[in-house]
Amino acid sequence: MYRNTRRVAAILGLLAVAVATAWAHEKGILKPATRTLTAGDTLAVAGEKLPKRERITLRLVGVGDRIALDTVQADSAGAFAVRVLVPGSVPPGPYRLVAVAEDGDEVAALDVTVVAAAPAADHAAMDHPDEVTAAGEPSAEPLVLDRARSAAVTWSAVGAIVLALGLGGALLRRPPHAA
Amino acid sequence: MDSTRTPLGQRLALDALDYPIPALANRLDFMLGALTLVSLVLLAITGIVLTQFYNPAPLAAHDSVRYLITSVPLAALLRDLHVWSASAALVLVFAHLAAVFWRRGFRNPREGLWWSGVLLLALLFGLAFTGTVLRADQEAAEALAHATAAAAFAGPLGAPLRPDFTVASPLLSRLYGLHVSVLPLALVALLALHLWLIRHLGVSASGETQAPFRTHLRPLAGFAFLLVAAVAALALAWPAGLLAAGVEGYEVTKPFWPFLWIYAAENLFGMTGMLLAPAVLFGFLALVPLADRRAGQAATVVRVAGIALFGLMVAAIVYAAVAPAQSHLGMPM
Repeated sequence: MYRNTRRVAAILGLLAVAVATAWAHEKGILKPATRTLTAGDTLAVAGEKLPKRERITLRLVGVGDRIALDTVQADSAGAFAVRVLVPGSVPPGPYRLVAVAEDGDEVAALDVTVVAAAPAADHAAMDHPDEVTAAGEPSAEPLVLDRARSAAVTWSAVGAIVLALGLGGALLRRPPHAA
Repeated sequence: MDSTRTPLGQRLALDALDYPIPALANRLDFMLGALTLVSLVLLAITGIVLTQFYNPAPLAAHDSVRYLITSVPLAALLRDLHVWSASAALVLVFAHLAAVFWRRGFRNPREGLWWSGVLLLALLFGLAFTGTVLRADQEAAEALAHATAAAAFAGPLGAPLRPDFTVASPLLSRLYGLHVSVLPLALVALLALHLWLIRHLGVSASGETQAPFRTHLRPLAGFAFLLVAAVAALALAWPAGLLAAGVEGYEVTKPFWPFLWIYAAENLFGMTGMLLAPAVLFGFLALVPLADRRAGQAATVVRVAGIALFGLMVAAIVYAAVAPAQSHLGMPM
């Protein structure tokens, strides 16, 4: 009886994994015309096996940047073909070309490299033009950054602070026993 | 039930915590060193996470910090916690130093305890400096310029701090190695010595009433939780910033606040001041146990000198914080 129960539980577990996998997005395919992108140029991109009839956002994700390229509509077969402009301000370097579905899931990704369109006269100004003033002079002002925020992280931190305050207060209320 | 007599307590030898200490040591001013240690533990934990996101290559370091701030919420919060924990550690270590100095906890037989503490203070400054440099922003570039200028002044002793020391590894990467391994290892070793000496020489508290050390842990834990809550709240409310990527050859910023007293000395006396200020502080601290051995005129002189030096440091920090930025190394502003 017990062995049968374990078998049934194992089968149900496998079924649950299969269902969950089916519910999750199938991994799509991105096919750019080239994997070496030139800043300032247009790029032909095709996609396959993407969520059918959904709006797909194409982005370049780098170490210091997250650049939206375009939003396209996948057809009934989950495919699209589009030409996107790679902004001229994108710093050269390694990136991931990602496709993001309407629910925020990343449904396809590909490693690409961005190269400069022309020799850079001022490397610092091209990377982050907001940081360098006239003639490449530095600034002592803090950067105005779009900080990553997460409600879960913030509220967990608040909860941890409240808990620590409570524990600290409770431990300090009773005086230690003398010998 | 006495926890030392439970099965777990027996296996963890918790009765070793029942050695007697003066009951007076259960006050906050006797816990400042332990609270400094709590700050160091926070620094270690947050620092370990940050190493997973930081790139010590000179051309990538600033971008990796920027990426962490703008793309990884938890790591950004941990970075803020790391920076505020550093400030907390330095405030607490100076408070601890002042408390021990005031009650003359450096007298025989605790001279070794004092000197190990002075070395720990020096290591904390080293960690604060290398941590500043790792940001690779404008403030970091200028801190590095000052350090390499001082290294050039120090001749062969300063060779490892010079960019041309080796072509195999850039200076920033070498300082990263110092920050995450050499300095923390030295800190742990010195802390072990420091704690060993406290355990066996005893706390420098007076009074006949004794209490088991275990009773010290409860209020200490309470203050530790409050410290963690305070540091976390500061991290949430005032996130640590980042300046633009460093441009060599310019001086437009001021250093991290624990170094402002050195900056003030530089404002007044130039490069000589930058070297003299730390030499005066650490030289005085090293001589304290030798100069103040027993009650008398020498003891009074040492106490007055210590109070004056501490006051001068605070005044120098305030002055440097409000005074206009100055160029010290002949670089344009």
